[in-house]
This record gives sequence, structure tokens and C-alpha cells, in this order.
Amino acid sequence: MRYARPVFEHLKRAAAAYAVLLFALMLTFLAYDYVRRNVSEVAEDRFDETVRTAHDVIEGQMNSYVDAMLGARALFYASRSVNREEWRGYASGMDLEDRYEGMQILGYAERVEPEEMSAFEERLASTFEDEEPRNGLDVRPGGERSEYFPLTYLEPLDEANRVLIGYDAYTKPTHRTAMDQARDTGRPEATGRTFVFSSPPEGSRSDLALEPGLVVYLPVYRKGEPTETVAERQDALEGFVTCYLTAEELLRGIFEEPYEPSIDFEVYDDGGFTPRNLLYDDDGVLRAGEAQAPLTTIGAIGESIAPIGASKGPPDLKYADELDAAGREWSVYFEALPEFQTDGESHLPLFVFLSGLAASLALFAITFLLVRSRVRAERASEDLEHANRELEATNSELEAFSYSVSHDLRAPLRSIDGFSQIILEDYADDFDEEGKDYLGRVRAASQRMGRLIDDLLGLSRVTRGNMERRRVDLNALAMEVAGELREAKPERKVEFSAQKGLEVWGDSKLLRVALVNLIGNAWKFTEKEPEAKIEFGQDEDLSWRGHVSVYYVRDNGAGFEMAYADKLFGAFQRLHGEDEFEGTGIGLATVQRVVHRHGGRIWAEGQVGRGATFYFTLQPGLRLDPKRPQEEAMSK
Amino acid sequence: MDKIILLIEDNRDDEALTRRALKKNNIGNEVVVARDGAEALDFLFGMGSHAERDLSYMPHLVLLDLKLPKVGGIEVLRRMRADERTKLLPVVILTSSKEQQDLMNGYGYGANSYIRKPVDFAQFIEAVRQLGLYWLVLNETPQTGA
Repeated sequence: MRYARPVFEHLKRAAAAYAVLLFALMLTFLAYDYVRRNVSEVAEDRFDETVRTAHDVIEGQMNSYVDAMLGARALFYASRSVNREEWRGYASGMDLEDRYEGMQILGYAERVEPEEMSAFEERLASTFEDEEPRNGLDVRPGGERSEYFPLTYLEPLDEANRVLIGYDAYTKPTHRTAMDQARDTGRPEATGRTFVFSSPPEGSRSDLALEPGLVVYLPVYRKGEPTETVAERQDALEGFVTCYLTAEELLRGIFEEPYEPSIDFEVYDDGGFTPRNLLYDDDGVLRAGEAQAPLTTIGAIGESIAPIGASKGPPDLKYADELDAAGREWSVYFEALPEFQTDGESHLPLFVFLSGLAASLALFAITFLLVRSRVRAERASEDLEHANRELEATNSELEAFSYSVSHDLRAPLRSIDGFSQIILEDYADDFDEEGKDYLGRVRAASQRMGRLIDDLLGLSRVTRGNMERRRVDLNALAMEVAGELREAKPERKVEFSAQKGLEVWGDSKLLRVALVNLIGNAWKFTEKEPEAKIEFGQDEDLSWRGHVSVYYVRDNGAGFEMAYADKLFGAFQRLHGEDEFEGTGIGLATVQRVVHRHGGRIWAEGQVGRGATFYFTLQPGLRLDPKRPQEEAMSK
Repeated sequence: MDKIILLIEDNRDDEALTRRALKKNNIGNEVVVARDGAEALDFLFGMGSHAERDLSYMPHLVLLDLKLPKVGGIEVLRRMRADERTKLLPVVILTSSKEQQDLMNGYGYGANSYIRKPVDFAQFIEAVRQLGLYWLVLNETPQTGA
């Protein structure tokens, strides 16, 4: 709870910053999401495209193999009988080994009735009289059967394939199913996954290798016999064009060139994604089996959701498809490998996200700093306001104090003076001259104190109160003041001159007080001068050098000692005796306050018996040390 | 009928000096003194201790100090000017203060004159002479209903 308030305050102040952060993060997320979707859409498109192409290519490939078989069948339909040489001629003509890489064997299995068996074996032996195969030419496996389908012709007739001459695959259920179907439908039919002899891999010591593959059977019917119905076809069957395919070579061949290596694909025989049915797997890692269940709930396997910016591609690019391969339904499974998206594009969302995040944080920081400095400024101005209020309170206290001084301090003085006067009038006879002199001194003292109080009030009045600045004609003001002085002492002969056109921006009441004191002083201190001269104006030289107008009041009166120049402006500081020149010593302090309130400076120079000059400015920015020009002016 | 002067003054010294100044100037009018603003208002409107007073006798001149106990001089002036019976009475403010604000208030609320009591008694006597001459002799006041 103790921290709740500061936290709340913080949140309240920094609300704007957090709002900016939130907004920027939202934008970042939207941008990220948009780019991510875009990228993954592009990826999906690419994936789909690849899958579609792959699908077509597999089917096309299968078709071309089937075409080769159809070509072989055409041999039988074209001539009365086909011998071994013709078969070989066809195979080499088709360029089997180069163009049909997956085709291990293109053969012909002839249908042999039991009663034809010996004639068949004889014919076979005559065909191979020059090069009898190792296993002999007997129809294998042996035994009594209703019909036989021994392999009669084989191409390419290499060491490995030669073994199969005379082999009757019809004894194997896998083959038998396909053969029966082919016979009944008249179409090529493939076996399920079986193992097919192939040339051993390079460096192997064995003569033969068994590889997963399939065998396709294409029925050959006797020429001219009807094949409309199943029964007719069964009857007319002469044999099968047989094609042994290894899945590896068949399908690798398919995808050699344009295929996207970062997509794995697996081909399964009819019957689902089980290793038993696997015909081909591009990368040797079985994925379809794993993914089979989740194919409906895509994305739930492995990393369920790709973490932002993970280097792995999204695992949800999977596709299961079925295609017709020579009468069998193959299942093809595609899956994007992690590398699929790591090239370039997949970094874009991460880049967008990170730069957006950085920008958001930067914005947040900037806003936060702005808010903080504003809060600080507000606090500072609050402090200032507080100080101002205190000052106002102090001022009004001072006001009340001054009022009391003005009112209450003078009342006793009036009593002292008044009753002293009454005593002098009513009881004059009771006092000798000395007593009367003393009473006179009492009255003089009380009157002087009255003046002191008035001057002090004047001093405090120029300090408090608001300034009302306006354009003030100093020349007119000075003439007015001089006029009043002349009026008060018409017997004095004083030559007064004031420069014209001195307009300033200031408080006319305060400036009047200043001029009353300055010109009044000059008036006072030239009292003993038979030809008094008082001059008011602007000092061009000092104004030019100081960059601020410098005004002066100059007289040829009593002057003062420069050593005491600093003391001139202190309250109650007097450089002359009371009997010499009357005064309270507050006048120049008052002038100084007026000048300071205008932001100006005041200084004086003089010489005993040769007059004094008071310089002052009424705005800040004087570029002179008032002490130095003093000396310079002195030496002039 | 004698012209009464109402002197509203709390300072007894000042009262004595004022009486002296009036006497010196041969102003023999009856002087009624009120020691504070409340008493002055009681006298003027016949309330409190002055409840029995005959209100047809209104002072001919009111000398009003500003700094008074209970009710201040400016408030007395305001109430006088707000009342039909005293609205037109000549009021001369006699005070120690020459604060600009007091002057503004005094004239603002309808004082006829504002005189600052000088410390120099001789000057004060002169001032009283002039205001007595002016307000009690030279000045014509309208006849009020009272």
C-alpha cells in the first residue's frame, strides 16, 4: 500500500508515454503480423506450387514408364511373334537405361499352360543356347499349377537380371494380385511395395541388391480375340509386359532438377504412411508417419507455435496427397524442412519486429523524457508560485508594517512637537532662554524624525508595489522636478539644462522619485555656489561603449571624495554634516532601488569642491564596468 | 444654533492638540468627540449610548481619523455616505497617513477633504485655521430635511 500511491502518481504522469508505447507496440505487432502472414503466404504459395509440380511430375513420369510398356506391347500386336532380339532392339531403341533410370527390368512374362510347359522350356533353351543362365532355364518355382507366367524376355539382360529368366512371379501374392487385376482390367497395374533386384551400390561386394520398388504389369492379349468382358480378357491373355521399377531411382529422377531441396517428400504405397509401405523418402527421415495424426490438427506437433524469429521454418507446411500410379493409389507426403524459409524472407518479420520494437522503445523514452521534463517544469513553476505567494504575504505584512510606521510612529512625534510648542507659548515666562532653546531642540528633533520616517516610507514604497512600465519622457520629467525646486526656493539662481528627446521605457512614478532625489541633491549641494549649474542628459560616449543608454545628472556643487563613492548609495550614509547640508541619507538609496528595479546600474564620480556626476542606466546589459569608466572619465 | 464639530479621534493627545488648534484659531464651535468608529456611528444615528440624542442636531463638520478602534474610518465614511441623514455632511479626513491607498479610499468613499496631520504643530495650527475658515465660514451647505 505504501508504494501504491507513488506508482499511481508515476502512471498518471507517464500515462502519455505508456500510451505511446502501447500504440507503437500495437503498430509493431500489426506490422509484424502482416509481414509474417505475407511471408508465410509467399512460403505457402511456393510450397503449394512445388507440391503441385511434384504431383504432376510423378504422374507424368509414371505415365512415361507406362508408355514405354505400351510401346513394348505394341511389338506383340504389330508382329506375329516377338523374339529375344526384337525385344532387345526395342529396349535399346527406347534408350531404357538412360531415359528410364528407375526401370530395372523391362520384361515379358508369357502365359504358359501346363501342357505347353515342355515346349516352352525347349523354346526358351533354344533362345539362350549360346549363353545359358546360371540357374538354368527351368520355370521356377516348380510344381503343378493351372498356368505359369515365366519371364521370357528381359532387358537389360545383365548378370543380375539374367537370374530371373524363367522366374514365375505369379506365385507371389503381391504380383499375382497386380497381374490378375491387369488381366481383368486390361490396364497396367502395379504391385504394392516389393523388393526389386538392382545393381549393387558402388563399392559393394555383393552382386545384387534388393531395393524397395514395384513391378508393373501390362496385359498382352492374343491378337484378334475379343476383350470386351473380363471373361473374354481372361481367356485371351497371352502374357504380361513386366516392368521392375526401383522407387529410389524412379522418384529421385523425377525431382533431380527443379525440385526444392528444402521440402522433403515421401512416397508411400497404397495403405497409408507406414514404413512398410514406404517407397521413397527424399531425406531418409520418416516424417509422414509422425505427422499422420496431426495432419488434421496442423501445427500441434513439435514446437506448437514457432517462437518469434526462430530460425526454424514454420513446421505447418505439410501436405498429404494421393496420386494414381499405374492403378495404385500412392500417398505422397510433402513437408517443408526448417531451411525452407530461412533464406532471406523469413528474417523479414523478425527484422520488422525488432526495428519496430526499437522504434517503440525510443518513442517511449522520448515521450517519457518530455513528460518528465514537463513534470519538472511544472514542479518548478509550482515552487515559484509558492515562493511568489510567500513573497506576496511578506509584502503585505511589510505594507501593514509601513502603514503602522507611517501612522503610529508619527502620532507621538506630533504630541512631542505639539506640547513643546504649547509649553513655549503658554509657559514662556517659566523658562529662561536656555530652557526655551532646549524645548526648541526637542521640536527640531521630532520634526527631523518625522522627515526620516517619511523618507523611509518613500524608500520602501519604491521597493514594493508593481511596476507599471510605459514610455516616459525623461526631459519633461526633469523639467517638472526642476520647476518644483525653483518654486520652493525662488531666490536661488540655478542654471538648469535638460537634454531633449530622452524617452525611456519605465515606471514614471518611480523615475520621478529618482529624478526628484538626484536633481534635488544637485540643487541642495550647489546651495553655496553663486553660479550653480545642473545638467541632465545622456552620455553619448558611455552609451556607445556600454551598448546601453547611460544618463547623468551633473552639478558644480560641493562634490565628494571618490574614496567614499561606494558609500553614497547606502541608506543613512551621509558624506556631509547635518549643519552643512540637511538630509536624511536615504535619497540616493531610494534612487538606487529605482534604478535596480529597472534592471539598471548607478554610479557616481566627483571631486570635493568641483561637483558631482551621477550616472545611471535603466535597462540591463551594460557592457562596462561602472568602476573603470569612472576612472577613465575622471582622467578626461 | 451652534454648529457642532464631530471629532472622531482615538488619540487623546491628538484630541487635545486639535482642540488647542481650534481655540488658537478662535473656532469656538462645540466639539463632540467620538473615541472610535462605533461610537461615532452611534452618535450620528442615535443608537447605543446616544439613543436619546436629538437627531435634528447634526454636526456641521466631521473631522475623521482613519485608523480607529472597532470600526475603521473608511467604514464610518462609507456608512455615512450610504445614509440619507448624513450623506451630505462635510467630512474632512485628518490622519497621519499619506499612503496613496488611503487617499484613494478617502476620496473614493466621498470625503470632502484629506489633510495629513503634520508633525510640526505650527503647520497643524495653520491647517486647522484654513479648514475651519473654509468649512465653517465660507462653505455653504444645503439645508437638509433634519
